[in-house]
Amino acid sequence: MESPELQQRVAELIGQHYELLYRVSFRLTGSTADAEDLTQQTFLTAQQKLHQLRELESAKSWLLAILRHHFFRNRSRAARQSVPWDSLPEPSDPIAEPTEFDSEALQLALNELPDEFRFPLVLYYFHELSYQEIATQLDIPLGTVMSRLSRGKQHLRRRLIAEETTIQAPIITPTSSLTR
Amino acid sequence: MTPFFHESDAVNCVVALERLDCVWIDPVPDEPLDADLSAAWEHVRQCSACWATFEKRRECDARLAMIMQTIPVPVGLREQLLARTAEMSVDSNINVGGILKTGNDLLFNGKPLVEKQGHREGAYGVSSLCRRAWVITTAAAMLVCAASGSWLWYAMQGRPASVQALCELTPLTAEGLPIVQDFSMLPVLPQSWPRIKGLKIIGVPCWFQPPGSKTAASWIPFELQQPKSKRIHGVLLTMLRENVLDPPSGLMVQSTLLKYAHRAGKPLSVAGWSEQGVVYLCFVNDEPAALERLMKLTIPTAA
Repeated sequence: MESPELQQRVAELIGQHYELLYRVSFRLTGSTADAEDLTQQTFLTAQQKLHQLRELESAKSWLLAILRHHFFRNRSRAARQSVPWDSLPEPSDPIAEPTEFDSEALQLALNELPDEFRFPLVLYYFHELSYQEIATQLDIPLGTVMSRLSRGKQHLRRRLIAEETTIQAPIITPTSSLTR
Repeated sequence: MTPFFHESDAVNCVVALERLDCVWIDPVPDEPLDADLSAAWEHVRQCSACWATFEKRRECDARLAMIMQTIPVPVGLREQLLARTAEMSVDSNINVGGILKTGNDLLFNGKPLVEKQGHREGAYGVSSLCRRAWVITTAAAMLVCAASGSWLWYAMQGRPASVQALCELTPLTAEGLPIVQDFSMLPVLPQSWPRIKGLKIIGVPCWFQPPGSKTAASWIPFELQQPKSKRIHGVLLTMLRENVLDPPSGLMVQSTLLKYAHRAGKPLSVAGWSEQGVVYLCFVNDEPAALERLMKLTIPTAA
């Protein structure tokens, strides 16, 4: 691909997707600077591998896959935070009624999740990828995606509202091939 | 909530809610469900306790989704990404040192355009070295790159632009402005700028042509971040002096002409000065005090 044409396509990708990628990056990393770095890494890699992008319609999914790759690689480099789910802190004082929570509280709750749980959860709430696409990206079974989503949501609810402090539900891994 | 079991169902409350929790944010299904989910859905619809929990979760999910996505995107990020990807495409064989004949010693010596103060070594792999290289390359790109912008500069020589018009009409975002392709056509930067700690160019320089003028000005987004000080975002407009119609006399020496106004309901401070045969107008989206801080750093070396 000629350089001006390449630049044009990269510029289009940036224009269309940089806000989403930054926001997802922010929720994954929890900091503005790291989110900017991750977004930049994603687009630089996209530029290098643009020939791999066959259909413009799949650009978003493709970019998110690159983002995921960098996210996990960076975390791995920086002494990967392999927090087992069982070691997650339990909420201290359950609140009786649902309370208001803000972006910061949400981020704190997200930061407590292991990366493997946070990534599908963020994508889920951004409404950007189907379960199947998340499963494909993470190279894990669909049931595992759903299980992680369920536990991740449970964690957020415990942290942010009062619900589910008394339920100790088993992990359900539906075998359904449903996608959103 | 206390787990509740329907005697006739294989699905209990916990299981039903867990299954549905995996699948939807807004879970009223339009499509046929598989057997497991259909059973869960039927259970939840018929169980008042489950339905209440289910509704609560749905509301919670909607709120979580809304808050999750509500994140302000940093000003200038798009331009920064464009600049970074643009410089990646620049031929690495460009002789940077030979081209930067701008009187800017730091650039000519291959040093960064702007020294970074208190740089954060992030966990995300963009090292200090990379950032420094990026600044150098950006600076180089500002004065080097492709030739396609040069015609624009030459084509717009001629009718001088009014300082007043520049102050009033200069856009504060790069949207719609043509990107500078041939940075060798840019007027030099203020002499003091490369030495100001924490000052950096944060996007791709563009051309701005004031309405009614054939003369283009370069439009350069910058950021000043210093310890214990509020970050400043702004735009530096540079034009050759002969292309400026009415430079105020005070602006022609070393003093600044500060102007404060509002644009679109937001504060806007403008300062102007000249050196090296170039007129500079500096725009900051803030109160004058913020711009004055930058001007104090700029002017001592402008004499």
